[in-house]
Amino acid sequence: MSTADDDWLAAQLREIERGEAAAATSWRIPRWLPWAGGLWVFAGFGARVAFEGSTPLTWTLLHQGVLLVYLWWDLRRTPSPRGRGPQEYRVYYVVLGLLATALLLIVLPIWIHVGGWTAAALAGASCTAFGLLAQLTYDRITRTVKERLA
Amino acid sequence: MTGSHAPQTSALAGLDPALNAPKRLAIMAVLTGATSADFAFLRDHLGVSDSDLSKQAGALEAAGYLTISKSGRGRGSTTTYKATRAGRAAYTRHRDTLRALLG
Repeated sequence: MSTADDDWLAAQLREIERGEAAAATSWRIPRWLPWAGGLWVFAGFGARVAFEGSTPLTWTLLHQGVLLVYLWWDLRRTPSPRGRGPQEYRVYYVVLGLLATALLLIVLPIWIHVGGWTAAALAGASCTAFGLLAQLTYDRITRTVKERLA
Repeated sequence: MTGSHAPQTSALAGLDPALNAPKRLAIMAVLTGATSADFAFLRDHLGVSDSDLSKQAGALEAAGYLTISKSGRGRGSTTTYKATRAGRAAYTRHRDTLRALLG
């Protein structure tokens, strides 16, 4: 083969590597911070202030439902590849789901039973920490996958 | 570089002519690594115009290597591309041949 052939083959391989790397590192997650911030605001100014007399749990679930719709919309609106994704992201989603469930099971009952600004602050701090942790972990995973593919 | 620049030696007989064009190869590289990808993602990744992507994807669809589905209407519509089983197999063969040739 000539040098021109080698160049053409190398260019083809570059396209392959670039495409496979793009598919593996472009997975998007929703923006967790607005969700966490929304819960924090609601914890402070929500059920006991704006909806005096209503059941806090009902309003909390309604509020979280709206935020989950937002997350779904946010995930869909920016283009990204879809599918199973690399192993690292699948582990991420499982861990994140367990963490969110634990957060809901621990923080929500405390807020409902204890009430007041202390509980609101606890809910806000927990949810903001969750949002930050999720975002930082995702960024770290993306760097790891890129390094693996490099 | 286009598919017309492809080398003609017999050693390259294992390469798929439909994937010789770099843009088509890049489309299949993305789609093989994912279940599907939408129009905007592929266009941004390839750095091509809307019409060019449509043309390249149309050629791959004609070869039976991907399927194109559209949802919604107007500005909110989404075009999604998905590699077929034949497309994945052809891409894998093409890639393996390239790697073998370059050692």
